[in-house]
Amino acid sequence: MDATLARSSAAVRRAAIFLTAALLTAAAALATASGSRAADKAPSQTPQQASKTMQELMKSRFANVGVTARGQSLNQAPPYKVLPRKPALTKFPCTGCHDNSFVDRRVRKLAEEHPTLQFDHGNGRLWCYDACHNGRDMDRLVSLRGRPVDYDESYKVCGQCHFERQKDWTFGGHGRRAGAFAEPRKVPEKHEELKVAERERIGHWKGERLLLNCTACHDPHSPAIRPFTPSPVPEVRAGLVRTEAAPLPESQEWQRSLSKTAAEPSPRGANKGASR
Amino acid sequence: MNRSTQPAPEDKGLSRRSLVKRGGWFAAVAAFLGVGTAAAQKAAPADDQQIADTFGTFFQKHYKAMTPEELQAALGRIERRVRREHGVSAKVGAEPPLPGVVFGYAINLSKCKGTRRCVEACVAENNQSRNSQIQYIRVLEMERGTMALARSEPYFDGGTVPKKDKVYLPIQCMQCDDSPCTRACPVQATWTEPDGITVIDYDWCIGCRYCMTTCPYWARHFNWNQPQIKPEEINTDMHYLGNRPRQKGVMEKCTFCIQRTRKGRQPACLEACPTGARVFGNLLDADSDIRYVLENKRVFRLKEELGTEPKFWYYTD
Repeated sequence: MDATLARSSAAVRRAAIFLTAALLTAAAALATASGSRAADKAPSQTPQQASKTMQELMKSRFANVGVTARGQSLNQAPPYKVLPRKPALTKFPCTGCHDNSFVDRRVRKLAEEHPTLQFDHGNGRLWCYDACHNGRDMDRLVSLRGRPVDYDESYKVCGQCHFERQKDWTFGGHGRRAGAFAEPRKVPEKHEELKVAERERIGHWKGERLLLNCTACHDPHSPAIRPFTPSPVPEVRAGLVRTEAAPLPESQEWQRSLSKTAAEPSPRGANKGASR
Repeated sequence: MNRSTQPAPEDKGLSRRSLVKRGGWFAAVAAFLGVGTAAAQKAAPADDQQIADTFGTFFQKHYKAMTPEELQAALGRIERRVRREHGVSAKVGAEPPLPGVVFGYAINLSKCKGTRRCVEACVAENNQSRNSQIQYIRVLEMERGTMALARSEPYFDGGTVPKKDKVYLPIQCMQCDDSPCTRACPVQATWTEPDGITVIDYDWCIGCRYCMTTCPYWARHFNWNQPQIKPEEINTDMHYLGNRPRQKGVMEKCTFCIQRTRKGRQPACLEACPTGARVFGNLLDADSDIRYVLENKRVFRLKEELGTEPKFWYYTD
C-alpha cells in the first residue's frame, strides 16, 4: 500500500513537473508571439510627446544656436497673441459643403465651387490637398507631418515653408500693425475705432503684441499682394514750382570713368585692367 | 511808426535823440491800442476771456520754463482758441516723455509700394493746414537701382503702384540725435526731448526759418499763411508740442505723433500703411520690434555721412 502510494505520488509529481514545464513553454511561446505582433505595429506618439521629444533633440543638437542675432529661438520671442481668423472666414465651417468622405484630388477649374478664388500659390506647385488641406478633415488645416492645425493658427502651416518670414513676423519685422483693417483707407481717429476684438499691440508699440495671421493680408490661394491705387498726388506747395525730375544720365559714373581711362590710357600703363 | 520816423526835414527844433524818444513812445502806444483793437475786432462781442487769453499768450513763458500751473493755464488758452477759431472742443495734453523710452523708426523699402497712405494719415492726424499743402512725409519715386534723391519724383501719379522698375523712399523728420535744426534756432524754440523727439514750442518760435535751412531732409515746414482746416476734419486729441493748430508764421514738423506715441500708441503713418513697411518702437527695450529690425536686418540711414545721427533707419529684406 505504501509502495503503491509512493509510486503513485511520484507519478503525480512527475506529471505535475511535466505539466508545469509544458505550461511555461506555452506561455513563453505565447509571449514571443505577442512580442512579434507588437513589433509589426508601429509605435505611436501623441503630438505633445512628439513636440517635446523634438524640442529635446533640437536642444541637444543646437544648444547655442537660435534664429536671431541674439540667439533666441522662435519660442523665446516676446509674448504675443494672434488675432483669430475663423470669424473672418465667410464660408466656415467648410463641412457645410464638403463631405469629409469624398475627396476629389483632380487639378481643375473650380469655377462653380469657389468662383472668386484664384489658385496660383507656388506658381502651380501646390494644389488643395498637397500641403494645406486635408480632404478627410476639412474644418482643419493639416501640417506636413499630417497633424491637424486650427484655422486660427494658420500661420503654423505657412511657416513650414516660409520660415524666414515667420521668424520676422514672430519678432516684429514683418506684418501690419494696423488697426483699421476692415477699411484700409480709413485712419482710425480714436483708439476705440480699431476694428479688432483685442487692442493690445495692434496700434500699440508696447505691451503684449497682437499679431495678424498671414492670411489676414495674403490670400492663401494667391498670396502676392495686389497693386494699389495710390492716395491723391500731393499738391505743390504754395510758392514752389513743380519741375520735372532730371533724367538719369545714359551711363553710370563708373562706366564713364572706365571709358575715359580706356580712351586715354595713362602713360605708365597703370590702368591696364581698364584698357583691356 | 512810419509817420513818427518821417519827420519834416525843415523841423529844426527837434534833436535826433528826442525825436527817437517820442517816436518810440508813439509806437508803443499805437502797438498797445492796435493789439487791443485787433483782438476786439476778431470776436464780435468783446470777450474778456479772449482779451485775457491774448495777453496770457503774449506773456507766456517757454514750454520748459513753465510751472505745472502755468502749463495748465496755457493748455486752457489753447483749448479756448481752438473752440473760438475752429468751433470744436479739443483736448490738449502735455504728456511728459516716458522714462526709459527713446523712440526709433524703420521703413522696409522692399515693402513700401508708394501708396502714400502714410501721407494721408499724417495730414489727418496732425491737423496740417489744408490750404498750404504742408505734408510731413514725402514719398520719393526713384529708378530701380538708383539712390539719386535729386532726380526723384515726389509727385508721381497715374495708374497703380508699384510701377515697373521703380522704388519708393518715404522721407520725414529723422529725429536726429545731433540735430542741426535745434542748434540753429536762435531762441531755443526747438529742442530734442528725452525720448528722442525733436519738438517745437509754436508759441516761442519767431519764424526765422534758420532750422528749415539747416535740415538736410526737408523735414521742417513754415506756415506762410493762416492755416485752414475744416472743423469736421480736426483731430481733437492734441498735444502742446504736437498737433495743436499752428498759427501763421511758425515752423512745424513731424513729432512721431507725440500725442499718440506718448500714450503707447503707434504713429498714424504706421497704422495706415497697408503693406506693413513701417516699424516703430522703443530703442531701449530689447524686445521691441525696432530692436529686432536693427539687430537682424541690413539697415542704413539716409545721409549718414552728415553725422546728424538720425533715429530713422531704412532696410530691405
